[in-house]
Amino acid sequence: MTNPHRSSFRDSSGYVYEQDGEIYRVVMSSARSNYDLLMQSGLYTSLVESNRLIPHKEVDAPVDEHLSDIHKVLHAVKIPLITYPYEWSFSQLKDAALLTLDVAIEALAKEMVIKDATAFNIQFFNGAPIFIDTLSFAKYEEGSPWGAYRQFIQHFLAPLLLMSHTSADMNALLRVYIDGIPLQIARTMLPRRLMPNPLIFLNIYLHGRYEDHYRLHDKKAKVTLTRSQLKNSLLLLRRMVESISLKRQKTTWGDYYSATNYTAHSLSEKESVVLDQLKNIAPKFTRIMDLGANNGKFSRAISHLAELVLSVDIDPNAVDENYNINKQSTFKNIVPMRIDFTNPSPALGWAQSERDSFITRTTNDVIVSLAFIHHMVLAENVPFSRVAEVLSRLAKDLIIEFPDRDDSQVQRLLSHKPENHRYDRDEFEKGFERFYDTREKVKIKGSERWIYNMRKKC
Amino acid sequence: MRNYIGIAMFFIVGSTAAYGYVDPGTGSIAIQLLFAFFASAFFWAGKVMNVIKRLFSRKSS
Repeated sequence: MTNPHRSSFRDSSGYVYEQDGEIYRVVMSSARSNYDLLMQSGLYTSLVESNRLIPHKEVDAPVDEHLSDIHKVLHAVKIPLITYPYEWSFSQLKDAALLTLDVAIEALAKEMVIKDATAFNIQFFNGAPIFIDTLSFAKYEEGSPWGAYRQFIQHFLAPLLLMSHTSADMNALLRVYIDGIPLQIARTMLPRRLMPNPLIFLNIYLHGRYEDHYRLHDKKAKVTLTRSQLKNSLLLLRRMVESISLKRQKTTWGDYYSATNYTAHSLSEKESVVLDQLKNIAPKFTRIMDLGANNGKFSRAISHLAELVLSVDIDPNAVDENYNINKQSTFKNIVPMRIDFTNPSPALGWAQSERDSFITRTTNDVIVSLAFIHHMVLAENVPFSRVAEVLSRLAKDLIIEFPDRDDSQVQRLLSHKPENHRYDRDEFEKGFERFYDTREKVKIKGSERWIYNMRKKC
Repeated sequence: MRNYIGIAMFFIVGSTAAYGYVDPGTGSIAIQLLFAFFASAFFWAGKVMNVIKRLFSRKSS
């Protein structure tokens, strides 16, 4: 008996299940013709060869004995870490949108369409977005419009426009609106100065009005689009998405490394201390979480020591910069995520189990947490012991930087606190020793900062 | 706004059943006609511009 994955129940064409850590996809008989067309048309080969679709092998695998109408069972390549669109930066969401349109355009050339355009169909694998829903492909019917058009607008275009024109973290709305930002909401939030743009007017404002009108009057519409009209629509949507850019907004940590209190020498000293401490724990890790990664400088420095580096920061500009630097380089095993650690992604969706919480998805070998703890304690008022408790749930080993009271960044944060605020090394060690044993502590030369190497208590 | 809706209403008759498991939205189906018209006009205009550019570049060489 195999149970579908908790998020795999909406599409009756099939479902995904996990067994012994491997991912399988069941293709039901009802999806036979579409699946066979995908495989025989050359579309699957072309998309897989260009790293745009997750590869699979057809296998004889155990499935639910109560189901008799199964066409195939596919053994799919497993994505090491699932991330969600509300955890991506602007460029990640934009690349996911462009991939969705590229897949749709290529599918149309092979007599197929993608029947849904949810951002949850995209994951980041080897540093780039990849389409993971093999059963999203359906035969193109001459004259039919694109059934996933509204979903594309709600999942991609509306959030990208909001991120570009209001705030870079507006994709957090996808946490609330799990099937995309409703057009009625998007059009009230976007600045009115965008209305004269005919493409935005048509796709957001008028689109929203049409939806309201047809829903209120319970009307049906029949529209016939020629193939070239549909292709032109997809191509114009692509141009539109391509032209949206993230206006450089001033954020708290976006310029951290250019405004840091480290000298070049102490920064390189810190890097070598962190590398040494990691090597003292193990020569190689499956997964390291760089918590408070900023633009990923240290994630890249330690990436050769892990199969996967989860590079987490709260600042949308810093995460975007991290993604774009990695994209242009050879760092393919880094997954940047925008996470507010004081309010990480919860479990969401149907029965609160359709989308897993950040904490349940991110079990790591080791956490590297640099320039992080003073913000939690001083800016967010989280006691040391509470931070230690959560970190100990995420990894057994911890490399953590503690900036002492005399550090200029700490002084800045302390300036708004009472003079007797108990932020010092003793308090830090006391708070963490409930959950961790300290292996080693090293002071970084030329700074007021310490690196602690800790092991979770049994 | 009413003018835009009126233009689109002119094209819209009858009914279409949603396919797949995603509800495409009736208003969304209807607006695609306007968008497709706009997109086709955009690329057609682009082609015309390219032809004109080519003519001028030949003359200059």
